[in-house]
Amino acid sequence: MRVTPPPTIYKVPSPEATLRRLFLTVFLRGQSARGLTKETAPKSLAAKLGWILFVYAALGLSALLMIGQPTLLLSIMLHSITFLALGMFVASSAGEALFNKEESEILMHRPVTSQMLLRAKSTVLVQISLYMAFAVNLVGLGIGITASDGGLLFPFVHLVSTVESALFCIGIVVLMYQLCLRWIGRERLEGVMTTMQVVVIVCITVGSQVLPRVMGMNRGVGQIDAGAWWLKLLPPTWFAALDDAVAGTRSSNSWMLACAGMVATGFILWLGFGKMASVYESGVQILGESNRTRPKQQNQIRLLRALSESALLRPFLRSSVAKASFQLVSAYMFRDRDTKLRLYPGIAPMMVMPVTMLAMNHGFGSSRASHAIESGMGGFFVAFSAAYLCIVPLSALNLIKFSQQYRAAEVFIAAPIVGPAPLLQGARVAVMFFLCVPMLIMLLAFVVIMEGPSSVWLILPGVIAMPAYALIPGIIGNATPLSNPMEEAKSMNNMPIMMLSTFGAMGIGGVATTASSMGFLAIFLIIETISSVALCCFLYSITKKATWRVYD
Amino acid sequence: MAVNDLSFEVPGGQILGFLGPNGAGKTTTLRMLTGMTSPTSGTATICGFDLLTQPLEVKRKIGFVPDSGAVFESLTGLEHLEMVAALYEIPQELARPRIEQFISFFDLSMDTLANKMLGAYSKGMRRKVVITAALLHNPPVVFFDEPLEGLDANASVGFKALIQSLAREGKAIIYSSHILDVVERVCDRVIIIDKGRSLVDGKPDELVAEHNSGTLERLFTQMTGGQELERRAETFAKTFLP
Repeated sequence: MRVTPPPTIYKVPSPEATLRRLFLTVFLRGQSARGLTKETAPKSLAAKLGWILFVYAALGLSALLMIGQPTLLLSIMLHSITFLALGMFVASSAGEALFNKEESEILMHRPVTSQMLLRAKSTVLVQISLYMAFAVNLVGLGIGITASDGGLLFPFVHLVSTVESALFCIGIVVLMYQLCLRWIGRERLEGVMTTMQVVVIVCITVGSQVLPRVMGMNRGVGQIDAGAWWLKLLPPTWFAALDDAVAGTRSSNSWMLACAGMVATGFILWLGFGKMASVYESGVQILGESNRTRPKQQNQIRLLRALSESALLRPFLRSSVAKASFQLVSAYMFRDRDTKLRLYPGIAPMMVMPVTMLAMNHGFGSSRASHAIESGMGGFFVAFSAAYLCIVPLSALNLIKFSQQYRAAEVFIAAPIVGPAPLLQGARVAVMFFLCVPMLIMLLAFVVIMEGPSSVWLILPGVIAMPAYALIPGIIGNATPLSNPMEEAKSMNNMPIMMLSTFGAMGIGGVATTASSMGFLAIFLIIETISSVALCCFLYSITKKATWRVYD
Repeated sequence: MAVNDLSFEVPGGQILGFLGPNGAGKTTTLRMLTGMTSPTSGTATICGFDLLTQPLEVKRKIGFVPDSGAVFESLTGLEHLEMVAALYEIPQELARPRIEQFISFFDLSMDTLANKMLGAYSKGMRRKVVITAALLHNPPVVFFDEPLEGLDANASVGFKALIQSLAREGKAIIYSSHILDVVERVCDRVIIIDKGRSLVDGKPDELVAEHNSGTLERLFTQMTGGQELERRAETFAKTFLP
């Protein structure tokens, strides 16, 4: 008797699970393979994720400052850090994750709906955000047990409030995109979304610099007034209130705030992922449609051309290549979504930090300020602030060398140009003209208002040093504008150079202040000018000799 | 409006050449038929399913090779193909032999496919992966938008033979290309569109005879106002070159 074997039962894969796995992989590896070890099998994603989480866990070590503090205070701090870390992460990665042009070419004709895509992407964002949130809060979970009014319940409730906080963060960003899609319309969508994204990231960056000082954290964390009315308007307080309501004071006030947080989170998730999910489909479809050049962009192009030919910039843009590079880099600085998302949030702290220091010097939220005024630190702050702005061209040029269209930069090598020098010159002028000059003018106005016109001279040492700083990117690797893939931006390690530059700025500020207090500022400025010119000539000669590096 | 008042039917077993000058609306038509763009009006039915009301059913029945040749560069070729198979709910045990068949047909190496990220592939190799991804689920309707781009001569010959075999198996094939002599040799029927409207629709040899144009290329230039191009090219070379 022949026995018929049972039919083989295969496990049918779920498209939703496949999409989640795909987005997690692409998210961790990056959209492009350049910059990764592409010739060999991909490295472990777990190791990469582990490294990211380690950095976030280190950020959470600041909870050690809160040992023995009340639950609400500790929790506000933990949720603020979580909000900052996740807000930055989600705001900067959501645009790329949610609206990727190539991805719509690969997936939109497959049997998947836009809702499935949105759900899978959101799940991956939530998943990674939760990992990050737990890493940031890892130390805090233990510290919570030592809270003056806390107990063993803290770790459990804090885990819940952290999940709530992460969901709120992602919900807000997704909702922001949906609202843009609905209200702004197709034509202006990308520009407006990018601007909003830049504003959100800059606000988070600025907020993280300013808020601790406004809260008076530098007077000692224990001195924060957790009952301040304005604190109740900030989302981290709502989530902290849940911790306090369950594991801390258990006050009715905390319960009310905790409920407000839950309602707000629920409402935002319902709006973003339920009510407005269908709007996502039109957004994804827009990506595949060609953009028309708007009159505003044509005006911009004309203006950039006129600027590069103007008497003001002509001396710096002598060659046609430098002129073209100036126009290209400027256009990317104003128009390209990814460039804007990296550039402005990247340099925002450089403007905020000097302003904050000067403000602190006048007693804004700091008891150290009075000490600073008494010890004559005001001059140092002015000199240091201006010298610190020197880092702007260095940092901006390092950010502008990355682009999603890095392959297009091959046209530079194909063109009859010996090396990247004229391209770098154009990029330098664009950065100096559109970023450094406005920032210096703002600083000048601020110094005149805060310190008086007599302190304006102390800005000069920074201004004189700026061109030399702008030449540094040209001698430390391939800084050709827009010629490196985005993935390399994630792995770039500029920390030593940035630290050295900051120390250099402090040095310039210190020496200038000392020279000023001893009455030798004019002599110092002359010596600095000669040194700066010599250094610029030296650095420029190195840049000029550079030939094309072999592109990947 | 990129496409306006365009209506056609493609029976199983037919290879339809979809032609038109740049900006004529070919890619927009293909994008609408594959559910990537919503039409402002009108509808389409593929394998009995309405594109607007049953988009998922339609998408299960079609394969599409877009002209962009986009792939997830940070996946290996094998990861990409297995991902695509999973989206069509093909179990891995069944997907792998199908992938191996295509690998063998396209002369790809499994080692490369499994270990190299797509970002490291040549244009031709990448195109082969995209074609494989479009045919992996054995769809009855296949859309090709400039499929030969990047393929070498041998691969092109193989590919042309492949689509003719697929048509013989009963698949409906919509083939959009600018390489007119290939279209003339491969396609059973041709539609030439311009400014979103159909200009001619019929068998290539019949159309050529009807318009007395000699070749499909001549017919194309006749229909789309390209006759002047040769004269313009001559004038341009004279005025541009020193």
